[in-house]
Amino acid sequence: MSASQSGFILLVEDNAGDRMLFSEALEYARCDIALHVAASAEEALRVIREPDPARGLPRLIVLDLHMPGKDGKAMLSELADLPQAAGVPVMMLTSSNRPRDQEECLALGACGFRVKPNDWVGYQELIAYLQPFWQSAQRVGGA
Amino acid sequence: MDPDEKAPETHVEAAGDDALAKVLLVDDREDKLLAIGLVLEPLRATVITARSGKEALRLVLQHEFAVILLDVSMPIMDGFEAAALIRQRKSSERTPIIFITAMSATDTHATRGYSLGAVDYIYAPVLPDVLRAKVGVFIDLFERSREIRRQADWLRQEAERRALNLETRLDGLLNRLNVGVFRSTVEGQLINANPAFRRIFGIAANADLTGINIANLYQQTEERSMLVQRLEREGRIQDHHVRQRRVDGAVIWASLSKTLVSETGSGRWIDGLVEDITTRKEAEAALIAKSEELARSNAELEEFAYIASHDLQEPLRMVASYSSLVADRYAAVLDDKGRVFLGHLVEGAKRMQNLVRDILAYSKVGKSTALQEVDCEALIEKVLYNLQQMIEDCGAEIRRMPLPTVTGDPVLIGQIFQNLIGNALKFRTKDARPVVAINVAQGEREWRFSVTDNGIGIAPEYHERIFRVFQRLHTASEYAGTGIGLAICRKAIEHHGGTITLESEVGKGATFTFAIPLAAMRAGAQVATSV
Repeated sequence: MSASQSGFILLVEDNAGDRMLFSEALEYARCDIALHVAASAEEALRVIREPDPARGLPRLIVLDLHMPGKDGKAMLSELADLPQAAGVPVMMLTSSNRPRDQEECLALGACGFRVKPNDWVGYQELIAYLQPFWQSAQRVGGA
Repeated sequence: MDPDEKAPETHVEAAGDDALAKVLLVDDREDKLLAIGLVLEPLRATVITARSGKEALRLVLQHEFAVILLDVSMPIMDGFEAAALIRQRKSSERTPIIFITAMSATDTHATRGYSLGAVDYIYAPVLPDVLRAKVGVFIDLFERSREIRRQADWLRQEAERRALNLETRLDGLLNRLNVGVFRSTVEGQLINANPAFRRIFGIAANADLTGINIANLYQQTEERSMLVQRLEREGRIQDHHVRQRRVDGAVIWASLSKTLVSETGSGRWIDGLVEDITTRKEAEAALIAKSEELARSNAELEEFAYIASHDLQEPLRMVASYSSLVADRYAAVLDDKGRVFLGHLVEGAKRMQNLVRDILAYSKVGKSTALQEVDCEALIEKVLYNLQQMIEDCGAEIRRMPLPTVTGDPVLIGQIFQNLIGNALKFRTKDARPVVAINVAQGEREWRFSVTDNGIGIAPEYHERIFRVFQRLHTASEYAGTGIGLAICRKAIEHHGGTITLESEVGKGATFTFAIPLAAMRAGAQVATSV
């Protein structure tokens, strides 16, 4: 199937532990989609601005809110100025659910807001929750 | 014998007001004086006799007479001549005079007598009863007018005394007062002021006040013109706070009250009161600064709690997630001990996460949320729904009466019920079916809710401690929990201006009673009418 070759999830997360848990959960769920991890917003923006011609753009960006340097909100604002990122859904991940953060991120163009899982089971649930987002994005991208 | 020398010294005017009225009897004949004196004896009067007009004139200067009886026919100076002279004396110009005449009533006599101010005539021979009655009338008249005069005198003196007293008191008050009292012209020229006014503005006690224009005592002169304009419109100004300037240049805060007074004939002026409120104003400013500082430090604390919980959660999630991942994936390759160790690791991380979550919840209680109408009936349904699993698991019976609508924060009141009912279920005994009763009573100023259980109870020595943060009476293996639930309850109830109390003994269940005021009593709390 072409789905395995086209498209990937871009995870923007400064915490190595979280990156590995996300990757483990994705693998455990046997989802047939690639994962590209970026340790910072700067790195993630490079992936969008100068996409690998063979891989193209991500179908979903999973973005950590709190990061040293450029944080999730700053990256959301920059994405809004990039026409090529217009169709890519961005899901926020954070360790606290402060209502003000949530409103701000949605206003900046995020498609959703999830609290980071507290344990392994939580990670599995997160992957199940995210699945429809990259699948619908696939349809949009394929149209 | 010279009749002039015969003035009876025994009849010298008595000083007192209560002295008998005096009657002056004037006749040149001793026998007639004696006879008439006898006739008048029964009257309440002192009879003074004179043997001639000349002597009579001397006596009217010394005494005040109720009536003068004057013989018309006397040698040297007859009665009419004497009467004319008596009338000229200021002290006797209005004293009633009765003429006694032996002559038959001729019109010329009578006319002459009346023109001299005689009030009556008596003809000789004198009829004793008639004479007595006539003189008696004048004595009576004299005494009454004397009494009236005395009362009038007393009233006048009393009024003067009171006025003086009032003035003394007013002066004393004005001098002792801490409030400045002053009067000025509409243009601002000071007319007078009390010592406090001088103190407030630093004006020397001997300085001339009339040289001062009130406008110069304002920090900004225009302030006064604005106030005068307002006075012209409204007539008076009450407790107006303004910056004023003492004569030494120091600026003070003053409270001014002024009235525009206009009196016909004497023009218009301004009566004013001035109070130095600098200390009060400074205290107010300090209080405002303090409360701003408090609000700032509260905000900082909230931020701290948020950041701390966030930063604590970050590594905790790693411990919890990886320990559960290891447990899920590698439990099979561990021996029994390894699996127990791993179990402690997973549990410990979970408990720590609950603690962090509850600290965050506790720190959030009392954040300014608007109070609103809270339907406790709907709220308790929701709470019982949340606790449904627990209720079913322990087979508890919930007894409750219909609950009212109160004014409060729905999230907090929900937390109060959830924590209290949750505790009632959690601390149940093993040998009885748990029963939780939720009751309410309306007090004069508050709703009193209570949650009663038949659980393990709490020893009285712990009744205060259990409301403090992280106070636990049991180990985690006996009863799970972070020990923060009741602390949240108390903070939430106090946020509503209420109180929470506990009645319990070990083994006899517990009753938690909390009061929520009928009206929002929290300072600055605002009630939202609709959600």
